[in-house]
Amino acid sequence: MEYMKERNRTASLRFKIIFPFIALGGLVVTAAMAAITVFILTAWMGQPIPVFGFEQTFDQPIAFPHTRHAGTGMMKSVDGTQELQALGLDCTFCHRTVTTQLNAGVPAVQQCMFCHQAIGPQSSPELQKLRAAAGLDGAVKTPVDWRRIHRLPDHVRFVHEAHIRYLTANPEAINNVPEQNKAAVQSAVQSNGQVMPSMVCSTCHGDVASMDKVKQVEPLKMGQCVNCHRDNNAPTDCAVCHH
Amino acid sequence: MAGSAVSAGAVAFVACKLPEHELVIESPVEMPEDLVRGEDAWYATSWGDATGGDGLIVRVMQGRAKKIAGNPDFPVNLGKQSSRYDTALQSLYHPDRIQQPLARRSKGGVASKLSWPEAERRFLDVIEQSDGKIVIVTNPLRGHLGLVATQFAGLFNGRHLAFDPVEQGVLHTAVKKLFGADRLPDMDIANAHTVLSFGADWLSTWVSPVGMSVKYGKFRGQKGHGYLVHVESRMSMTAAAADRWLAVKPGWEGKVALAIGKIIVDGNMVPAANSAAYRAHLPAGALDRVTVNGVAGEANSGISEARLREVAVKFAKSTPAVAFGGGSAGAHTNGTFNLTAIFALNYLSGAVGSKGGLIFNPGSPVVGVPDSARGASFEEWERELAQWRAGNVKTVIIRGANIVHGFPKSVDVAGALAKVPNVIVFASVLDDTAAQADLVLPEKTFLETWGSDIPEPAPGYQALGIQQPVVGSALSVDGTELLTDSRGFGDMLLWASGGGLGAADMRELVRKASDSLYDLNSATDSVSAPSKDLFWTGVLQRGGWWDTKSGVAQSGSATSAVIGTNPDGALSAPPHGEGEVFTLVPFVSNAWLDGRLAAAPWAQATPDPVSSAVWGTWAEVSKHDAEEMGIKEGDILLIRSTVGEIEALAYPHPGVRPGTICVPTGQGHEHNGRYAEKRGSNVFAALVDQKDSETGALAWAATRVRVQRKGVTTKFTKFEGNVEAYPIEPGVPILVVSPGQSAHEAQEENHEHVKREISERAER
Amino acid sequence: MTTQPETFGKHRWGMTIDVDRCTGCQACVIACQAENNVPLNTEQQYERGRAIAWIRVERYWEGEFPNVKARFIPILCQHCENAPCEPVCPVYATYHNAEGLNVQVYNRCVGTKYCANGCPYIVRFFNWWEPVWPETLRNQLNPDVTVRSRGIMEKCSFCQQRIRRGVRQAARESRELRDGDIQTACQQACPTEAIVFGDIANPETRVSKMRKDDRAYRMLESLNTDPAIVYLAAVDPDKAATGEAAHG
Repeated sequence: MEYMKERNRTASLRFKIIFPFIALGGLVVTAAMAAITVFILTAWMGQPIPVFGFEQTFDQPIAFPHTRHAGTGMMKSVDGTQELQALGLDCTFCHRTVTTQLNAGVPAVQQCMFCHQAIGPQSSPELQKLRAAAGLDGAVKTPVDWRRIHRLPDHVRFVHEAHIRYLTANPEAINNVPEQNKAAVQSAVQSNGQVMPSMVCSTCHGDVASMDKVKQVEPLKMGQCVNCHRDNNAPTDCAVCHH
Repeated sequence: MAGSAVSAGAVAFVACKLPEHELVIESPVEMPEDLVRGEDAWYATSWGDATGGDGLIVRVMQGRAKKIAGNPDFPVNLGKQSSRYDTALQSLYHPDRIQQPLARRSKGGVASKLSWPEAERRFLDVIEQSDGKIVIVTNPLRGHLGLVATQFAGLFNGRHLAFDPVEQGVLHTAVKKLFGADRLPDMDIANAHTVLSFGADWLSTWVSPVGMSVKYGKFRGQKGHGYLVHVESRMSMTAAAADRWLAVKPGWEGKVALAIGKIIVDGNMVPAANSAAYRAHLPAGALDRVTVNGVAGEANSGISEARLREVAVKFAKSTPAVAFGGGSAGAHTNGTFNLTAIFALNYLSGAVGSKGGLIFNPGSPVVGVPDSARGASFEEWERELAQWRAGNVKTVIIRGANIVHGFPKSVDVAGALAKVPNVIVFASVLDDTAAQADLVLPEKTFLETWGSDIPEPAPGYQALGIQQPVVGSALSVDGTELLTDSRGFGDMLLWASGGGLGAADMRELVRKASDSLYDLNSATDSVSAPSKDLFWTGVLQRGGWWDTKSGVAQSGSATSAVIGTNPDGALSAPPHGEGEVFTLVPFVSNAWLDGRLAAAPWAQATPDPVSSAVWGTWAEVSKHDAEEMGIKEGDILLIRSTVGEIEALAYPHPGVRPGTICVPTGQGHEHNGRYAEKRGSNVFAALVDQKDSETGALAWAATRVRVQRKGVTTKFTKFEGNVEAYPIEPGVPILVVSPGQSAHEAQEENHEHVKREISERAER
Repeated sequence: MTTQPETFGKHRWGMTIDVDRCTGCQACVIACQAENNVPLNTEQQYERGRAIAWIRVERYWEGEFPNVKARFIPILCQHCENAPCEPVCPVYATYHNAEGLNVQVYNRCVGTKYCANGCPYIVRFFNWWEPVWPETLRNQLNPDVTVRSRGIMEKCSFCQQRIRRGVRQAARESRELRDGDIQTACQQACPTEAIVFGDIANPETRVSKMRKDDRAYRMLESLNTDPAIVYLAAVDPDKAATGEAAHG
């Protein structure tokens, strides 16, 4: 019996020494697992927190600044030497199938060249790339493969046209209204009127006009779709989007 | 543990990695029209290489063709289609399209790639050197491509010859002899009460199958349901649709028609004027020499006298009644006699040039453009190939005609081609003929080129289908490279003529045709426009031009049909050796025709309507013969004629006349892309070179063969399950009613029938 | 505001197939494959009995030579009101929607194949392999339709993408949907107009009128599945002569 007591005492002594290490290790493991769980859950429910290279944006083959084209107000030029007035182009000027089609459509190189034939610093490296793609300066015509930012899984059929048709007529359902659009949207809501198609894009895409590099701001998961459909009395039958 | 979770997560993410093309959006260089308009576009066009000359619409999205459907405006097919339309889409995106020109330094040498400028120079050099010794070989071509091919040959004092393995002029000759018509008449099935057809599988592949199927739908929709009699030795699609199928012995079709005519004339079933007209258009005395007894019965045509009389009464009494034939009925040594005797029945029923009968077609609306096409006869080909062998031809340009594959083995086309110094072949996928060429030029498909087509048979009035490029050029999936750097056949000829044919390219030629149609200034119901430019736009939008008021009242000068050497349609004894007791009747495949669509995987995977066979060559043997010879489904059969032997999988068939064996055409290619090469066997190779006594066309349904089991059995690749599908009980799944009966009554009747059967079984 | 989201549940889709007009030409089969991205049926798939065809044409023999008859019938998902496939799905991947369609949700399907076992018409097909599209042939895939992957069930959707497109088009033009606005791929292809598709909730449509035809019957009616597809019986003049069914 004595022997046993002695043994227990040594065991508890050893335990006392090891315990902090075990506790500390357990805490580290728990914390790590919690972090991973949070990461996976956020990745599943929305967009992943921007670590491990999971940021929802990419470097594009040609650094196209939406700020310069779609933004309003003053901004710095690419080389930082000049103050420029942003062009404030309407979204549908380039994404021209968005009001009639399933997909918004990226413009053809030819369409970029409508303006950039003459406009813009032709010597800038980005415009050089564009000119090469258009087959100017002795280059071979090559399509530009842009990196996709907003991607829905293949089993979802999202139709831009129907959403824009609804939201332009029901501006109260528009979300993420950027500063520059607020007045227009509010007055439309009050007067029960319509807004321009380009006022509704922010609902899912955020304020693209203020993004140098476009990134995804909304999770665009099915939960978000269904919630919005419910709020607006839109069909929630599976076959409407999944076929 | 954390580590394993991370690695498991990493594995999960890697496993779920998206394919690269999912992460890319392409900006095309040029803006496709559908992007300009912001809608997906359906372009109207036509398909000159198809049977009939149907109008199509093609769905194009972001520069890619997605779907082909019938053009709802076009008067021939009225928006409807066959299984071959979407299959043709695969000719555009075929993975084995020839990428760039290929050339051989010596016969049988290795083909090396060439740039287009080099190929162009070579093409021009060859043509300049061979003035007067040049032959252009194409598939039968109507419309502007046919015009260009003929004119180009004329420009260099050469010849233009069309090749068709099955339609070699017997049909056109019979129509010309009987009605004086230079082009096929429209068979107005939609308004006929009785249709009597011989040999031609017109619901599937013959002449203008989609247009005729549309009419068949209307024929069945009319009051009284319509009555269709089909005379053929094999149960084809048309035979299956018929109310009465007469399984005739091959070669007896003309005699059967004559016997039916005789019964009608002798029984005074039609007005005397009709009988007189009928008699006048038959070979002198033919009607007097034929006896019903000499035709009816197992020893003769294989059709009983009662059946002949039944059909005769239907044909005479239930009018309008139209009779026509072709296909295997004309593919015998007495082919012209057969078709003449068949078409002459229309005089008897008063169906010549009248509603519900044969409607004759006016000529081409554009001067000089061919409105009718047929393959040169076998006899003409033999003469031509003799010239090649003798070294009298320096250059042969081949397009759309796989002559190495399509001739009987005894002809040795490859040997003849070897004697021609310059063989130039236009092809989009390397086929057997292109594999023999000295210069292979990748050809654009019909979806990438300009052209036109005049439907044959036309719908009873003038019509011109316009073919326009619906896609710029076929691109790879990521859009970064061309699938093929190819040229149009017509464009290439026009370019090589150096302006000698009055146009720089096919587009200019078609545009000129549009302008000439505008100048006709006729009030058409297809396109009307205030200016030539708007008219052109209208023609392109509609897919062509037609004028429903341009019909002709009657045919040309109706001459008496004179059948020179064989007025009674006697069959000459086919050469045959020991044990060759079967008659080999090839038939044109519903999915890949004579082989021109065999390269497309969808064609290979389309089940045959009757046997549901896919991806190969099968032989339809009568069930009766199969039982006698111990043949089971999937047995490999050796089918041997005096000239060659082919292998095919046995398909015991309840609907084949005993003593005949039926094999689909169009397989057995040595070269034809990954899906078709070395697949099945080529039935043309086994045919004996007998000819129709009038036209010299190949009698391709008259070969005698010996059928043996090889002793090897494989799985028969087909869609249907392993049991032969007989309905388990009446009304399931197909309910059959008698005319005027309701579905409910038929179901009650079936129910009674089953009850009776059960009680009878119990008694036993 | 006046603009409402697209209407749903207002229509009820149905089809009639006139067996008497079917010639077995396979036009519907290939048109369906092209429209719905049905994977290529290779030789091996046929040999193993794994070919996929959302619509197929079955051929039945009757009688013996020379009085033999071959009859054709197109068979596709019957979109039963009382569908045996629906209650057996453990994940609710197949269900009946308010427009009368039997819907297959690919992203829910886990591949139990219970539904295929339950279907008396054998119109459900399982993807035993990842469908292989040669790179170049991917160009012709229809962007409106999901490309299915291995391990899920698929079947006729009554060309749901065309229904949505037609409804959307009508909404865009602020008008009611007209009869004939929406054509399924098989209907569009069928040269003899044996197949007619439309809204059966509206009694004025062509399909509604045809359903009242004397020759109308449903396939395997005794199973009480209440299909949305109505067949019109084949007419055989010989049947009157014998006084009973032409078979046997």
